[in-house]
Parts: sequence; C-alpha cells; structure tokens
Amino acid sequence: MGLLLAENKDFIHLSKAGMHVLSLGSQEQRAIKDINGADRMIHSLESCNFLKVDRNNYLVFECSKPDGRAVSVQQEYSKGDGSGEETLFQHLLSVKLCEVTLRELLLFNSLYVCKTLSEIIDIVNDQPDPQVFYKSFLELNGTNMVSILSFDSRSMSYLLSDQFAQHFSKEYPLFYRNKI
Amino acid sequence: MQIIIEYIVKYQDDFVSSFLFQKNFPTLLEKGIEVKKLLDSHVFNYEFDLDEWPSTHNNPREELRPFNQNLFMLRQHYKTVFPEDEFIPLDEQKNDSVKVDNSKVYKIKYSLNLLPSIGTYLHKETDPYTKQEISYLKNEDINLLA
Repeated sequence: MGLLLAENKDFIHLSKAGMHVLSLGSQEQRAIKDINGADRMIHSLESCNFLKVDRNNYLVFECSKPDGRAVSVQQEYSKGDGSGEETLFQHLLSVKLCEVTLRELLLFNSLYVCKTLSEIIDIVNDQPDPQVFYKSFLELNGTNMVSILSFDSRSMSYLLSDQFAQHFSKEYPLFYRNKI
Repeated sequence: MQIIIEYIVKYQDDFVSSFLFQKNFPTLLEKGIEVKKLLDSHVFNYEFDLDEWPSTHNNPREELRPFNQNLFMLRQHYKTVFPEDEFIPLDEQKNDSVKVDNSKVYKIKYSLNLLPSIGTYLHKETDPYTKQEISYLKNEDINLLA
C-alpha cells in the first residue's frame, strides 16, 4: 500500500518489511527522526539531478541492495520503424552511494580539523587501503573525498596512482559533476 | 590538475568526461597545463556506431560536417548531417533512381569532435514531447580568445 503526503511530497510505502519513505519533492534534503528516534537526513530524488550530463537525461535509482545503492545516468532513445518502436536507454555513468561508517566519519573529521596541508597529506598517505576516498556519500553532497581533495597534488598523486587501479572503473567514474 | 587529467585519460576515457571540461578548458590553457593527452584521447573525440547510421557505403571519401544539434539526439540526424543523394544508405539506394556503383563497399568509421562545444556556440535542441526546435547560446561566459 502506498500514499502520497501532500505537504512534503513524500511517498510512503507500507509492506510486510516495514515502512519506506521516498522523498519526491524538490527540497534537496530534510532532517527527520527514524523509528528509534535517531536523527536522519532524507534526500529527495531530485537532489541527484546535478549528475545529469544533459537536461534530457534520466536518473535510475538502484536501491534493491542496501550496500549497493547506485544512481545511473541514462539517455532514452527509440529504435524501430513504423511497425513498432522500442524504447531503450544508453548508459552514461553510474555513481555508487555508500553508507558512511563511524570510522569513516572520524577520518573525514580528522581531515577537516587539520591545520596544515602536510597534515592532510600525512593522513591520506597513511591509509593502506584508500577505498574510503573513492566512495561517494550523500553526507558529502553526493561526491567523494577525491574530488574534495583535488586541490592538493600530493594527495592526488597518491590516491590516483596505478597501485590502486582495482578501485577505478569507467562505469563508476571518480570525477563527475558535483555541487562543490 | 595534470594528475587528474592523466587519470581521466586512462580510466574515464569516454565522451561523458568531456562535460567536465566545458567551462574550465580555457583556464587550463591559460595556466599552461598540458592537455595533449586529453586532446589525443576519446574524451573530445566521440567514436560512435549507431544502428540508425549506415555502417557501410560505396563512397570511400573522408567527409567533415558540422553538427549543432543535441549530442544525445545524434542517432536521428544522419540525413541532417548528410542530406546529399550520394550519401543515401545502401539499403535505400535500391529503390532510388540514383545510379551508384555497388561493386565496392567500405566500412564507415564515424567520430564527433566535441572540442567546439567548449566555447560559445548556438545550441539547437528538439523537445522530445512537443517536437518543437529550440535554439539558444551555450557557454556564453566562456571565451576561448580572451
């Protein structure tokens, strides 16, 4: 069963698994409280529009797996002749939206309290597996730490080096349009 | 910036990445950042093979044509880009009165140079719902000559 709330344009979906809230309005983000009273931030579907390469692109939200949420940018096109047309989609890029852990939040906080650039570089270079810098988070407005740290060439030379090539792919680019 | 460009050329070598440089490419030139690898890559050179565009033809010449429409509408514009009778697709020539030599057929390689989209240009777009054509200036704030 589903219902649409008139005030916030939230779509509420009720099922055996529980209640799901989908923000359909234009407001980018809004603070709410979950069932346990914990503070949560709900992001609307439109808040990911910045990912579009062209205004006619479509966004596909793949949320079936909680640990594998991704937003894909696609372009619709039609194929066929007068007898019948088929609608297809050209895939342009995808962004995996990860859930931030407490350890990752503490690491990001450490970067923000650094007083000098060399302190930031030390923290970046001390990470044996810098995967956390490649992950995109809604808490970072949909971007990743690589984009945020792109002002520093020494951090970039470490994070973008070929030794971490297993984390790089064309399908999930590290550099894409962001709000920063 | 050099490191990021090298990363993009190696791991994001796709026309989608060209949109990252639409506003800042003149700044890269001004700052003296090397862009050769970027220009040699597929970032600004979109090679495409679309079902709506003929893949073979009996015309062996290399042709250079302008394209001002929306990039994502490219597949519908073969006849806009090549309106002449000599470029009619082979399967349509059979019913046509134009006499052509079909004894030799060549594979066609299409590529679209996206560099002109960096500066100011007149962008044409067809609304997918109303089919109305809209034209407007894009990147008005970008001046390659400044």
